[in-house]
Amino acid sequence: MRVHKTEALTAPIAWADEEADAMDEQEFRRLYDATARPIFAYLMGVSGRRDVADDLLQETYCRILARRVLPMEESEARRYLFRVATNLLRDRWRRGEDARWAEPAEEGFLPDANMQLDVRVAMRALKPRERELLWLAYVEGMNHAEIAAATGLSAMSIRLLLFRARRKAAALLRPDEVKR
Amino acid sequence: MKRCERESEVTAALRAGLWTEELRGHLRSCASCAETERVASALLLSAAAMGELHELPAADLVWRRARVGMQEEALKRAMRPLIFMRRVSFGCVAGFAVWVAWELWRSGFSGYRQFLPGMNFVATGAAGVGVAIALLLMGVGSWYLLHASRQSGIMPSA
Repeated sequence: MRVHKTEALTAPIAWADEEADAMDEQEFRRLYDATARPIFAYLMGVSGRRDVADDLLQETYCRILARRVLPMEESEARRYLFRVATNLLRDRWRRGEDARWAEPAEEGFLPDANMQLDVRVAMRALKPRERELLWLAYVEGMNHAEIAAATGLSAMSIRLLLFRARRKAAALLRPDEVKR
Repeated sequence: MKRCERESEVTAALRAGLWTEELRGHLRSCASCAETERVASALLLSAAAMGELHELPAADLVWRRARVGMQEEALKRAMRPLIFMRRVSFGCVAGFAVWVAWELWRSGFSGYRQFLPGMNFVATGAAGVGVAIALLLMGVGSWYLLHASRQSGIMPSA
């Protein structure tokens, strides 16, 4: 094998290749297949845009590979992935990129799915953090400690924040019923 | 409305689709749990519809993107000392230029021959040859590094 004289200069790149090879692609594929759909739904439900969900989903897995935290237990990886996805969503909001939600037709929503439209309208009216909390609690079934780990909020505050978010969402979903 | 301790049970039952008669009875009498059920069921139906409607990016694509990102990061790390040295050399040149300009200005631009005592033909010629050799070596070195990088596939050819 020909050894190039500039090998010393390119050594860090070669190391990166070796580390990447050390990560099992099959392991990654298994993790991706098991976790990508809920992460995508979370990103889509909270950001309201398919293009954003697509992009952040890929970025989430790129981060987990780049940080070389694999292999880990699936449940642990799942929590970590939600944490990374939440941080990426926050970065978008900090940059002020959360203003526009895609129209239902644009995202391929069924036009007669009234419930789905109601949910979108409600989610759009909620604050990003409220959307996160509701999704993690009710769709992912996370408990308060898990939500705290995924969002970086204190576990003590989750209960109250979630209660308020739920009240607001319920009012948005069925305004007339919640007045009592 | 007060919070109810059984909200998590309602959420779990909704997610699993397993309701007991007792829990159904509680749901009818508890406004907080009824509200939880309403919000959670709407979100769960929405999430299920999302799963049916949208295709995910392929795992291969994400894997390749991650690999490319890691290589770019490694390249950046490898280039960091070179970038640092380039900045240092620019700083040295700029510092030298400022110093020369300052000395010339201080001498009133008239005594530059005293300031640069070697400004005769021979000395200037020797300095010129030195600069030319340095430039030639820099060019050859840069060409060699770029050529080597392209051959090893690190840097794409133009």
